[in-house]
Amino acid sequence: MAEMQRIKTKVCLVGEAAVGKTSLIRRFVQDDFDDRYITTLGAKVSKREIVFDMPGRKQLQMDITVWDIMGEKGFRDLLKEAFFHGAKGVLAVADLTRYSTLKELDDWVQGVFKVVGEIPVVYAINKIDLKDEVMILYGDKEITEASRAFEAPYFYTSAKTGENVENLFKRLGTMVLQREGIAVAS
Amino acid sequence: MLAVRPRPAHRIGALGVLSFLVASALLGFLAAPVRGDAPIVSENSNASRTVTWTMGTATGLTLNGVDLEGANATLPWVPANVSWDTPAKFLARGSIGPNLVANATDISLRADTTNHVLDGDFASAAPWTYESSARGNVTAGWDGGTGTAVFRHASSATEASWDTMDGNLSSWIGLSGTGWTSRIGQHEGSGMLGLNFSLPPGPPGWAGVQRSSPVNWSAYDRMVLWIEPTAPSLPLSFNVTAYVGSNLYQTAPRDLVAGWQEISVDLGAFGPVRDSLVSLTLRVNGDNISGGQVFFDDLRVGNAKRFDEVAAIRQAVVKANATTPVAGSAVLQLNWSVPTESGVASVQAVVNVSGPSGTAINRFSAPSAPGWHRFLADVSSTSSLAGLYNVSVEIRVVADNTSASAVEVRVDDVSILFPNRQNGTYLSGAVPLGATSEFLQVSWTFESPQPAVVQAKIRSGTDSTPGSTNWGSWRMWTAPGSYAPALAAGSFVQVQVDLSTTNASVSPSLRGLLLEGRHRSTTPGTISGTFTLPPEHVPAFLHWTRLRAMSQIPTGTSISYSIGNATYRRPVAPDQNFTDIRLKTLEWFATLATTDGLAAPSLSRIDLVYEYLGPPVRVDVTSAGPMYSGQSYALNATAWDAGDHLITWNVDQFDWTADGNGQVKNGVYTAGDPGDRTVTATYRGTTLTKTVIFHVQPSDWVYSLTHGWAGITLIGLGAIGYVAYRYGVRRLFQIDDVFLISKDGRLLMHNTRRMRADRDEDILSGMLTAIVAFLKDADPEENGELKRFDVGGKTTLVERGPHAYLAAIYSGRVPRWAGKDLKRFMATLETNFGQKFAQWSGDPDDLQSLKEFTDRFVSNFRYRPPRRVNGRAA
Repeated sequence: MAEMQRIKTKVCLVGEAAVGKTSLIRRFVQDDFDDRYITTLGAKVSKREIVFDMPGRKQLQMDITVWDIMGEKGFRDLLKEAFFHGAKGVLAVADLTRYSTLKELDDWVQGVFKVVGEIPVVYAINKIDLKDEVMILYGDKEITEASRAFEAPYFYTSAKTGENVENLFKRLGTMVLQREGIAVAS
Repeated sequence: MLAVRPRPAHRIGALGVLSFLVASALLGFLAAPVRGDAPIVSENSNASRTVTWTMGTATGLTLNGVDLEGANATLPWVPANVSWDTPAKFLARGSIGPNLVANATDISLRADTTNHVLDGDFASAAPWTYESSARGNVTAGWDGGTGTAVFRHASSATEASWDTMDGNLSSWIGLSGTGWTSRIGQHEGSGMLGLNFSLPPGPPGWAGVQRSSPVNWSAYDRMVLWIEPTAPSLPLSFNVTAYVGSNLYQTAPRDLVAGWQEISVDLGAFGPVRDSLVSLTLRVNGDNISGGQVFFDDLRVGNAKRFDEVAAIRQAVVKANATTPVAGSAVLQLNWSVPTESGVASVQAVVNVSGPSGTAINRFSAPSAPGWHRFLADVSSTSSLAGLYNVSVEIRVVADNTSASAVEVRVDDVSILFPNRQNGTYLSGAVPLGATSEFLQVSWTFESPQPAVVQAKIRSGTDSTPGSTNWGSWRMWTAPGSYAPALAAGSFVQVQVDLSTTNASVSPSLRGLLLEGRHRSTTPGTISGTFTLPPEHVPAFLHWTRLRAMSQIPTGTSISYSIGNATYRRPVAPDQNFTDIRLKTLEWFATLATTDGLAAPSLSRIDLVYEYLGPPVRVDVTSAGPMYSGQSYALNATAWDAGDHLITWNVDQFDWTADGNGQVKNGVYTAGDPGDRTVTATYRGTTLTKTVIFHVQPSDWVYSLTHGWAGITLIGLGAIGYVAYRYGVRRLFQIDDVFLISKDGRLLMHNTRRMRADRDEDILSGMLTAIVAFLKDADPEENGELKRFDVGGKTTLVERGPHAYLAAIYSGRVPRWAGKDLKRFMATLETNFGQKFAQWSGDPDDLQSLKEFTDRFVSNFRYRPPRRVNGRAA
């Protein structure tokens, strides 16, 4: 049996209101609390465990507490110190059908950086399932331009179909571990 | 809805400071420019620095399509030249009328190059007619071998020897000299007759040799002999005298030249009867000659051949169109040569063109030099009308001699051209220059030999429709050279050149045009500069905040700015504030552009401003009233730098003092005696202080106690309750769970009395952290820090440490000392694990030794810190 190592980490889920942050993770995390906590408290914590293979038949279980932050900028400014403190990674979520939500991610990520310094960021361009139903006003060029400053990879995701959500967490977890100097199979 | 917490206490002050700083920054910006061109970093008074680039030199700048002029970056001038140095370039931009022709090197008036003479090169005999002279002495014919017309004459001599002068000296008598026979140097035969003589100065005299007997030359009309004067006998002349009857006749003297010469004497000078010529004397005439000598040889007599005959070639030429009679409108030319001409008096050519306009006869003599010669004659006036013209070339041979004669004349390449040049015009279209341009010089290259005239014209405009209202009038030049064009600025030019002549053979020629102009580059240019924060400035660096530019932007021009680095760039507007650019190496770009070739934006200075966390300059303390004596209130203490950057809000970094029996501990003010009370916070390590005055009111319960029975009753009930509590209730509680949670919400350790499968402690810890943080930050003036809350029969006590906090969940009535125990436990943990908490990687194995500590806390009714050995926990 492989030897298991554990590590606890905290990541923040940021983005404008209604981009699908909560929906994006709902089916993929351990969720003990009602979503209404987000609107009343400003954040809700859920948990995701991911197992990575390590060199030498070892495995590492990453217990990720995912802090789903309310998508209101005023709220972010008020509680950012507490909610972002100690975060090791950022899941930045934008709505594919609203270009403004992509542009706002710059401020969201900078807000996290201001508290915890520069940490790994992964962009999730959500609602890809709507790409054939509504007019899409931006694409790879704009996303690359927006995410380049943070060296952030991006995924087109769908909370509805689950497309790329696993990859999203896996990629962020890998980046967090790499930053800690822990090599895992990606 | 939650709102951002206001900071009224320092808002006005901050605005004042901010206004001062902005004014200072503006004054600094508008002051004299910073010397030097590499970026210069200057310190501002508001915890920011300005990095300045000026444009005096390119040092520290990267220029791409931008020039530096007079300490300004601007778009460069670029040439806007019209350079046409070949006819092809003229034709590429315009067209020539039908009367013009573009040659290899020039544009000129087109000539009609049709040769109206058929078979002028005599490739065949026809259609020429060849006419020999009437008496047949001169013949005309076609030489198919050489392709020429050939004229010939040939005749034998008609003379006979009369005295060879080889040795019959006795027949001659020397007069005024001595005759003798020389046998050296004779022209013919075995000897010659010499005459040695002297002639005195004064009137010319003569010497000669006289025939000793009368001569009968009645059968002859010409005497011919050879004569050679030898130096120093010249100048001399020669003639012949004789008596006819008593009358002395003499021929006209002929000047002698050096060397042998044949002299023919017309004997007609002796009259018609020449059967007895007495004293026939061969004379040499001169004066002041001493030692003169002359020789005579080979005297002959005969009858001269005399004729003047013409042979001709002819052709009828059809001229279909009339031309101008002005000279140059018709040109006749031919080549001819005279390979043989001897024994004749003259050879002459006569070219005749006759027709409806008249007759033109041109004569010319045989050339002295051998080879072919061109004859060219203008026949414009006599060939202007259309019709049939006769063209003839005649060779006239004149003979008057007794010797053998031979003449050969050849004619070739006969042509008649009617150049018929008409005035013509070159006209270009609208020649685009790329942008509105100014014109510096125009240089014309053309030739206009008289009577040809060139009128070269240029006009300029601002649209592509020549002659519209946006075009100026023509400027004209009639002589080649360079001129100031004096053209209005324009983005298009048009060129017109009128070529004219009044001589159809003479054409002006247009060779080149160079119109030199210039305009500002309409290709956007970029100037950029890069600045890397020096290492000593990096730690305090916060972010870039503003780009300022000193520029001139005339109408039609623009400057756009962006900042970034090699992989990231974003547009910015001058003086626009931004806070999200934190690059340690920042590059700015200014893109200059214009749509007006005569206007260019100019940029003289760029300032990039960044903010940094400066030293503290002020401290603020706030809280909310009303305050009651004996009650505790959380205070907010903050330290700020000159740029209004928050340095700390950690109350533990302040030293507190309070009067009136009040005290401040861990940022919590316990109000003392009623009245106006001062609280002073000093930012530790500095002298920065802030003193605030709180109005402390008497506590409510004190008032109740001192103003009625209710207070006394409450005190009594309290005493009873306390006794009950001390001896009963306090034994009815127990610890269910202890959560040790890091500041960021991760669960460090959980110790529980019973495990629960329906909850996840990691999530619970996170949510608890979120709640605690929310309560602390949402409205601290009302709640302070969350120390305790009761939910569903459970009581949770919360105790904070510098690096973690404890949440203990109790069942039952929780005694007051439970909080103190929890506090002691927290202190123990911080003492032993504080650094580990601060640096925890997330690996639970790193904190395994916590377990025994939490066990100790959970398992004992009262918590007793472990004994310390040498200052460390046992």
